[in-house]
Amino acid sequence: MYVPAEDTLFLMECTKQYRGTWALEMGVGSGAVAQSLLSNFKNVVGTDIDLASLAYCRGKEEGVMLVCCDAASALRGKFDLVVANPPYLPGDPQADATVHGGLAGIETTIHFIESALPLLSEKEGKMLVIVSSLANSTALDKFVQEKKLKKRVVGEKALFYERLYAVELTF
Amino acid sequence: MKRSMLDILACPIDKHYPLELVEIEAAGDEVREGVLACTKCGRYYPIMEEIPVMLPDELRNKERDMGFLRKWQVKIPEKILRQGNPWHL
Repeated sequence: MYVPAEDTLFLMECTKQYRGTWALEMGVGSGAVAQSLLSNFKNVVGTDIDLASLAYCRGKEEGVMLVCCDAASALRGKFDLVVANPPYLPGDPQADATVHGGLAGIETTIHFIESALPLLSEKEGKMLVIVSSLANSTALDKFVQEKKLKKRVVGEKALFYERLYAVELTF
Repeated sequence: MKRSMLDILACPIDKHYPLELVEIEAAGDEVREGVLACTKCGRYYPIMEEIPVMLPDELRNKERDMGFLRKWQVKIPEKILRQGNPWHL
């Protein structure tokens, strides 16, 4: 399980400006972000590929609907906000899937976004994803262009050796 | 999982909806133990300690699935026990 770190707090901070009925977090880890979403959303769904993480969340969270699945693969319906802080360090996810996001660092992020696109409500749906300066974002930009998404940086945070961006995607 | 979650769940493999819910243990509107079944591809997904486990075949834990089927075999329909995908008793 990924233990809450500065990137978790950064995502939590960035989600505060959003409100709506349905919110989804892909890769809830310890569940901190999903839980905070409950203050601004009526329904919050959290997924994780790791059953042990969800078992941990279940113990402390009333109200977040938990599903053990890859990204958003077992979900349907429309969400007002989808958030994710995917593992983004370049490296093999088989070594540690909680931090490594693929060889360029961005593969898992793209997989997450692609998985959730059908769930984003066309008019007002927004996706918020944390992207690190350590990941090679060329592939992400290409993907965003291909899918004709609008991309906007809504938050930025400098850490010791990297810079984090909160990227908002809309149709 | 809450029963109402059925509205937002689809088979992760073929996106079929709605899934069939077999309740094994429930309390109020919460299903503690149960099975979700896809009538299209024949896959079943266990609900264990309130959490629906809907992983792709390659990430499923065969031993855990088989143990689950054995543990609840008197409460799970024959079709799932004997023909469920990706593996069965």
